[in-house]
Amino acid sequence: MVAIAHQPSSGILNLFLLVSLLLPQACSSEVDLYQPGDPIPVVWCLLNPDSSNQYVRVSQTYMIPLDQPDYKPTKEDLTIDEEVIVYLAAERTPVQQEIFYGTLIDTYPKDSGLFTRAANQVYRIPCKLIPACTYSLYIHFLETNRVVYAQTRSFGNGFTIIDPEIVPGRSINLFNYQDFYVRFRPVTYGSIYQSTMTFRYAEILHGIRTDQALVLPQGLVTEKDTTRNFIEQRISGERFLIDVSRNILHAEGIRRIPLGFDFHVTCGGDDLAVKINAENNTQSFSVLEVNMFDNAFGVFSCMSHRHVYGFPVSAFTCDTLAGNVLTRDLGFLTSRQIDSLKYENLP
Amino acid sequence: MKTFHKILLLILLPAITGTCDITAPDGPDPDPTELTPMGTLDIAFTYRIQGIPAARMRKVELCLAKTADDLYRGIFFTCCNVSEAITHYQFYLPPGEYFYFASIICLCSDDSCKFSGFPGHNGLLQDGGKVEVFDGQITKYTTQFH
Repeated sequence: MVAIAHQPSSGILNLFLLVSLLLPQACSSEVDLYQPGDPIPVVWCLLNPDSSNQYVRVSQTYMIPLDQPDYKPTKEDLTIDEEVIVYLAAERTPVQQEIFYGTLIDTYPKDSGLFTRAANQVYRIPCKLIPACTYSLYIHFLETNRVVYAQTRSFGNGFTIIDPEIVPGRSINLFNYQDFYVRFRPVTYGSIYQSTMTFRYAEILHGIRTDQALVLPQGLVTEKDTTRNFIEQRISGERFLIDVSRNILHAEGIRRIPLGFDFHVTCGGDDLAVKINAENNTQSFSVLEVNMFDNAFGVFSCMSHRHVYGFPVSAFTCDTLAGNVLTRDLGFLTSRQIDSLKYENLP
Repeated sequence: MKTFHKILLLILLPAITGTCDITAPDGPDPDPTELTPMGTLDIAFTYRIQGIPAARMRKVELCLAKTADDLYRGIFFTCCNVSEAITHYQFYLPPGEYFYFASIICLCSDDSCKFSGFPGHNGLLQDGGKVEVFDGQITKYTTQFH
């Protein structure tokens, strides 16, 4: 303003500038930050070294309209309505690749979710994995000429459960001051593990027997050091009694018999470990989005499972369940009572 | 009259104070292991049997009995979870004498097991003995299978 007052010769120019500044204020054009964009493909593929088929699930993102916060997606929102070619490339050597093509299959229905069957686009690739080999996943969208790509490395050999080991006469002791350790050999290119213990028991009520199971997942173990002889995961005896008391309900006249334990150990690949650890990181307010794909969201990694079924329950564990202050109201029989039941007609 | 009051007070006072529970302390019950002296028993569960490959032999049980009679009758007060990956097993116990029981199994066929002293396929070799636990000390023992 000072400049305008001391230079009257430039008054016309200043007036022009003032008018030009005011003119855009008269226009009103809203910028919509929430314009729906093109949907982005979502791909899930966890290679299984124990299977001769690999499975890839494809889907796509959808947008919830601002004025409809309770919007439920339709089948069309999730399904990719375009012909795609799905294939897996195994890099046997730096110069030699082997290609395996996938075919769209009619899948088993999902247990839950919005679309148990309709929006399941799953491709089966007949491919037995080579240990410690680099695999690339390609999804070629023919109409829009896009390619989705990711790379991972398959597990090496050696993922085995050491404990529990089924040996005649061996049983599990789980009570106060007596813990059980699940032990397994780590595998190369596998870095996240989780064991799950399932406590199986029978319930006898009014002469009717029903078999029940209490699934007790243990925490995640992240371990990249594959030179270790084994990784162990502690299952606390006290924690087991607390879990039983919280998850099994008291019922009048019920008799319960411990049947055994099942164990399930899962190993995840390096890429899966990065994703899980990023999502579990609650140290900061921001969420670190880990994505393994070019031109898509999703997961491409390896996963392997090992099982031990029917590990016996020791007499000590039976007696503890029958007499412990936490579990004595649940109707568990002592080992002596169970032995005597074997001579009766057990329903 | 005053004497009567005094006598009445003397009779009622113990009854009144007796209703108050002054013995229950605040907070949780003390851990019994904090009150009693404790020692550690360390048992090295090892075996070396001639004629049977290591992969065909397994540990089965490691238990403790309070008396020799209980040991022979198989009445144990605790057992631990044994593993081929672990050699040493520790028990945290009050000082005193105990009797350990350890068993291994032969998973070979009949002849091989019998040749090495087992009763047969899936037969057990057992070892037991007296051990002693001292207050605040670690007592070490090693199993003896012959």
